[in-house]
Amino acid sequence: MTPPPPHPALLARRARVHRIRARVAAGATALFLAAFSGLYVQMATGHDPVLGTSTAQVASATTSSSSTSSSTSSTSTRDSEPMTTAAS
Amino acid sequence: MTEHLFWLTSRSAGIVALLASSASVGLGLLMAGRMIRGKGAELRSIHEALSLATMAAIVIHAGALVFDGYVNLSLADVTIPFLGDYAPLWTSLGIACGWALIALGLSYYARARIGVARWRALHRWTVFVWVLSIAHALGEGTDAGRLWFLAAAGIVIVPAALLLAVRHLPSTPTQASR
Repeated sequence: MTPPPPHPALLARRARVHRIRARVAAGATALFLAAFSGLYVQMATGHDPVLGTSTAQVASATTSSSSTSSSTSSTSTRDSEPMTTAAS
Repeated sequence: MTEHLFWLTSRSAGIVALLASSASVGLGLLMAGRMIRGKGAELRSIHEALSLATMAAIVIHAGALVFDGYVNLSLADVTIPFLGDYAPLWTSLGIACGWALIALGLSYYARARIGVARWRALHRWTVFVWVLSIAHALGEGTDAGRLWFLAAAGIVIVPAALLLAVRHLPSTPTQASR
């Protein structure tokens, strides 16, 4: 014996809940991607609060044809300070 | 730069967890104080979805650190308070808040078994845990001193905090109550 079909109002409510969940999930994902992109750019441009200017120095060191002295300065603060477990 | 990807993932997920939990708490306070008009079922669904997003973000926030090659944390370090060496107070507070928010959030699905009145009493603790999680974010967060972070967090935290204050302020006596 097949169960009776759900009431249309119940189906409409389920669809609404599903739509809300999908929107919130999409919003949270968009927020995550925005935060990740922002932090990545911040790091790449040398403005990261922990990595400091080291990453930018890495970039400049790789693009320039200068000496080894510039590449030695590319060690990140994070490498010298193991204190980066924290996120917000 | 790729060696920092999991670390950036953790930071980003932490930001999402903070903002989503603040929005969820704010909406919950609006509903509890009957300060918002609308379809109750839809508001509850948004509140629930924001809570689920918060829980997912918390799992990613902690889980990504396990895969970060540099910090070299074990699963136990990010799930058991006072096990790790780095900033034990703030980290442990974050771990405890993460577990508490997940437990309180999932308790919604067991409210029939717990009992609705008891579940409501339990659910009120979410606000307390949320306040502690803000302390974790501001105390330990890598980006806590950044203006963009404070502005983004303030947009959702301040309204929720004001709603919390309004809810717990003693009501002024009116003429009628004399």
